[in-house]
Amino acid sequence: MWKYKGENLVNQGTDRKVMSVKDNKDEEAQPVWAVKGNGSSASQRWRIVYADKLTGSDAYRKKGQMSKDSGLIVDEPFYFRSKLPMQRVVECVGANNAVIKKWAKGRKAQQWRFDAVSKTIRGMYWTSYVLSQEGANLRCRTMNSRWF
Amino acid sequence: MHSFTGGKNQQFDLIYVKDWKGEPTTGEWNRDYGFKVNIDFHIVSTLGHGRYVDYLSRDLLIKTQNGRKSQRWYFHQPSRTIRSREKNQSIDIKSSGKSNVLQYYTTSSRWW
Repeated sequence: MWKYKGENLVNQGTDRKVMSVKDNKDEEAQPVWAVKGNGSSASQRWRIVYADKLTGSDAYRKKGQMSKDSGLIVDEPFYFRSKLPMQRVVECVGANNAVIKKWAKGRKAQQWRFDAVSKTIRGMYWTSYVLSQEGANLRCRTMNSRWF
Repeated sequence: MHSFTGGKNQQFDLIYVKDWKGEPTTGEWNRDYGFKVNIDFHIVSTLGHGRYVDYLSRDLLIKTQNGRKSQRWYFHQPSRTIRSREKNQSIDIKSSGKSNVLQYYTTSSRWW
């Protein structure tokens, strides 16, 4: 059982452990532990944000708004156009490496959008695909949460 | 009956029936625990990037906000535990509280 007191999540067991980010490291997928402590460290302090009242930086960006993190407008279709002389655009050709191809009017596979919820760039044709870096390759993949 | 130790197991609040307000229901605050009952919330780290408590396998960790249900938690009044909205299981300290590792696990009436 846990109580939220001040900014701490305090376990009600005899040890009174507090919820804490392991080793004080603010890194992706860093484990969350229960440790003995006074709760003063930032790694042991938490905000409880109710999902029906997300505001400010907690709120998901809505269509048309600029995402400050990514610099992209949310859910607004766009092309990646190469600066090479032929000015080809990036196209998703299925679950494979993204490639550059000659622009084709209305071809959805050449259009992309920024998804503010998953913070990924998603294809407009295969809507379940996102751009995914795999080694030196940039592939179209079904979204997973491994990178974040 | 046991000898007096003054421990939590020997402490009680006495509340007269006429003053008993009943247990908080959905959307109401449980002031003792500091949560609204049965309303989804995120647990947000105060470290620099403000990452959200999430899980991988069963183990809890912090991740960037991603809008997934795995980052939603709620206070379950009947068990007084914090539960995952996706899994409906409670935050738990591994090894019956002896470990430091946090996971979600089937809600049980044992607590530590």
